[in-house]
Amino acid sequence: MNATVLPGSRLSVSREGDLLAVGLRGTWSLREGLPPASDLDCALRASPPPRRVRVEGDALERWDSSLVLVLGRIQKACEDRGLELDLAGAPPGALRLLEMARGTVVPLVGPRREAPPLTEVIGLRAIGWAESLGDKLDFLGSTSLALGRMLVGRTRRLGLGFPLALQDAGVGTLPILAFIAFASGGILSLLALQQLDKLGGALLAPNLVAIVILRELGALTTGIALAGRLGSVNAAELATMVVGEETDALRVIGVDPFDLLVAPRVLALALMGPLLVLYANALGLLGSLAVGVGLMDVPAAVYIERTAAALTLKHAIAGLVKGVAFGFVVGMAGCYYGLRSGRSPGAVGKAVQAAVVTAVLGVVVADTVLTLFFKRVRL
Amino acid sequence: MTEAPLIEIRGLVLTRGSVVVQRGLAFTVDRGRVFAITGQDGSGKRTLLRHMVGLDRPAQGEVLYSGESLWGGTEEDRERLKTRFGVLFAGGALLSTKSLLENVALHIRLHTSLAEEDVLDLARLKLALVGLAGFEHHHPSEVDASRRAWAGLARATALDPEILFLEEPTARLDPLAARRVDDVVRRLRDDLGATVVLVSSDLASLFSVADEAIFLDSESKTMTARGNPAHLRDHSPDPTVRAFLGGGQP
Repeated sequence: MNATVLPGSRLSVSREGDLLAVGLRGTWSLREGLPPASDLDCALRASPPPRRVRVEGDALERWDSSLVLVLGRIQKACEDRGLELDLAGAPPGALRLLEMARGTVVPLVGPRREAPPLTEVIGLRAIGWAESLGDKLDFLGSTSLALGRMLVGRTRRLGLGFPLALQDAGVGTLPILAFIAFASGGILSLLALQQLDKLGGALLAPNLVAIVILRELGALTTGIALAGRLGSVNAAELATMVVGEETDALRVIGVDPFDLLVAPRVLALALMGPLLVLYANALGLLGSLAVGVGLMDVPAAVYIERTAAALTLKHAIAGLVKGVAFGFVVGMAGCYYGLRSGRSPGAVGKAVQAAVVTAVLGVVVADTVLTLFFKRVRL
Repeated sequence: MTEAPLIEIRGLVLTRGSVVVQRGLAFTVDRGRVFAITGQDGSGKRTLLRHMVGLDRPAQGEVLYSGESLWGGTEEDRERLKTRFGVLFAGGALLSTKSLLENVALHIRLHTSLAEEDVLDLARLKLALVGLAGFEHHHPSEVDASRRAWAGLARATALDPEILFLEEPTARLDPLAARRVDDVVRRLRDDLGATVVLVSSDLASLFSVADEAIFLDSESKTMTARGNPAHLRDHSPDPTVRAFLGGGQP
């Protein structure tokens, strides 16, 4: 009989004919780590191989899951090699846990599939995009219907909290928008004066800056501010309601969530958008004046006169239309990702992220489309 | 000289902000027992659990483990004591960005020097023990609430803790799944020698696994009963305790 027992080892092996005896001894603890199993591996691979394996735990003092783990590995090795295994010498408690782990190993999920062919991947993606587009159009349709019901007063009894939504979208956005618009106007003025001065046209700068602010910058800063502030809040609020099954509760009592949750938010943003653009325009022009007069030494009267010459209704209307569109886009993005968030624990965070990214992208896309449209209609 | 009880609560006063939730709590838990903390909603069961596992500092009183104060020593002492615990929070409280396997493995990796292969094998074993074999690579958001709770139990038991705290482990489970939890709790006590502190209002679970229970009363804001749950149900002098454990029957 050959026995391998290292001093202090908790695992020993000995071979007698076709029987491999595995001895367990001492204290087994996860915090002390697992005993080296190289001797056991060698003994199992020996030639000629053993036909039977017997576990002997008479010298075992204390044990924990580390023993169950090793017994499981011995069991697996014996199964793989077709060896007969006798576990009767192992502690009954460890055997019960081992059985419990094996007993619950049911094929809860199917076997892993091979990677699908590229054509299937492309096809599935295309179907996914088409379904997603259909879902977005469905959302747009439902929102339009809800807006219609709201405007004709059919949802008045719901207590929509529309004034609050207006206040949140409007007054709540003023401080951050003031800072962004004032700073953007100032930076634009500085750059324009510096660059046009090199060409001898510094006095054209106030005109250029005023037109850019009215047509573009005021609306764009408003859109970005709304996306960051309201897109995220709307998505978070609605996603939290979905996770808490509040929207299901609304449907059960016969209230369409689009009437109560979506339409007031979208309408409030679409209405406040142009008003906020006016405010951003004023602050932007003020910023450009402050920089032009304060930093670049342009006489105030000249700067104001040149600016006023560029302030036409046409430019203002272009900016205001963009304000309506950006408010609508931000409202739709926040509400869409909020209501479509799913119910998982991470749903709210993902909804907010998707809403803000989509709102910012949507604002830029809408800006591009409207700019091209205004060029076409000579606005 | 007698050995100190595994857990001893001395004159504990629990507060939530400036509001006293419970006062005058005093009890001991012996090794190898399933000890239940029960009581009405809002009675402070969860608050007591948070104080016992070192998340909240008591306003007054002491929590002792084998005679060593949880809050009397240094931060390092407290961290060392906490390695003796496994905690299952209601719902599992799993890390949502990690797979179930990683949720369990992270705990093992942090507190042992096992090789990575052993860490992952042990994590798989722990998941298999609670019936989650095959779900190792799912994220918490991809499984239902009961499986999240099971995975939380696997994580709590990953290191074979000496003391296992379970908060409402059977909440939101169907009766069969709830009895499986009870079975696992018994196995942990009987086969791994764990001491279990169970915070629960599930009467079937209390009668099935708890050796001893205390009842926290929300009106008097203190512990009004202690004993075997079935005995308290039938013989407690406090009618609220009898009614609660009798399933609402006076």
